[in-house]
Amino acid sequence: MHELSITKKIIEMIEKECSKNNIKKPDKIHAEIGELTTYKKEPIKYYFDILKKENHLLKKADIDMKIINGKIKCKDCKKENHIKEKYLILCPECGSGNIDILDGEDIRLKQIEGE
Amino acid sequence: MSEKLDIDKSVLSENDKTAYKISEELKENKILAVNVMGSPGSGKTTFIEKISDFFNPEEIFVIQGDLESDVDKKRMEKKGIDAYQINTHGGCHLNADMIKNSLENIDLKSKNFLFIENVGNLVCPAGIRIGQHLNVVVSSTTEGSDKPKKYPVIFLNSDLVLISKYDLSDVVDFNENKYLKDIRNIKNSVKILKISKNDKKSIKECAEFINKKRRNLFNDAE
Ligand SMILES: Nc1nc2c(ncn2[C@@H]2O[C@H](COP(=O)(O)OP(=O)(O)OP(=O)(O)O)[C@@H](O)[C@H]2O)c(=O)[nH]1
Ligand SMILES: [Mg+2]
Ligand SMILES: [Zn+2]
Repeated sequence: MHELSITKKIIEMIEKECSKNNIKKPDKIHAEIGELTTYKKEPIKYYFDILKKENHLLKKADIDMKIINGKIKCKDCKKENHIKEKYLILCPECGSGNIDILDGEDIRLKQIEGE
Repeated sequence: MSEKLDIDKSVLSENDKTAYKISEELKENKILAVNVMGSPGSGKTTFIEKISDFFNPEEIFVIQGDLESDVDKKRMEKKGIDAYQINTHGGCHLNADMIKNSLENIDLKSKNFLFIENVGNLVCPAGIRIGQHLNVVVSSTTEGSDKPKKYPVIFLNSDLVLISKYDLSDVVDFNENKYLKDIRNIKNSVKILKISKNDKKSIKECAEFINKKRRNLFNDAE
């Protein structure tokens, strides 16, 4: 349920980009989803497939969502690590909470294929 | 012929940008926006009703977010408070666009506080910016003392946690020590207050905290 509004937002953006670039039949949408966002890939695909049925432009389109790993860099020991949870982020090497998040915090619309 | 159109735009930041504009617009009007989150029935509307007694009804306004109905809006109007109802029709949290649209219906000039009652949900509203300056979680004793442990993200994203229905804590064997310890583990700096709807003193403390936040926010601007 949580992903419904973000899926609507993705669709709105696709519609905007398609009309701006005169794409009448998008067939493949590429997007990225960060592991550290509070969203999951499967429900977005699920909602996309439901919403596209009522959407003239997107009827034939599929969405492909690539997962972007959560990546942090510790400001103390300078090591980079892969993490999965957003809350209480501690460096797995030295336990420091002094952390920069490098990747995995965003959801991005990357590419539209179509004609 | 099929073509490939490269875009690379953030979906989240569209919302974040709108949220930023909202919070700036409210700031210009010296309005503190409070995002009230919590499970269904945790006491969000009751809290807003009760705290409104410590403000001038004209200086506050409320945006109500629910899946359906205008029940909560009517409760506000009964107290003489301007209120606007958003129905998400299935959506489990408010977003910045919804707030932007509702603000068009409200005269900001005379207002000092905006309370936004988010959709009852302990998960989804946590990460979505809606232009708020302050995040409040209303978490009732009747939900059980294990909530911070099970739903840490909303507590992590909060500035003020209200342990509501505190009058019922004995009835439901609320384990306060455990609850407080778990919250402190998630976010040590968060302010925690206990409230009961008929305990005026407990609500007054919340009003003072929120008032102070507003003064802090606008000290630089003044
Ligand atoms: N005993 C007791 N009951 C309370 C307290 N606060 C709220 N309630 C009751 O809890 C019920 C739900 O309160 P609401 O304020 O409607 O809860 P809400 O969080 O706004 O609910 P939704 O908008 O549906 O998510 C009501 O019957 C309230 O009277 C309290 O401090 N003590
Ligand atoms: Mg309510
Ligand atoms: Zn480290």
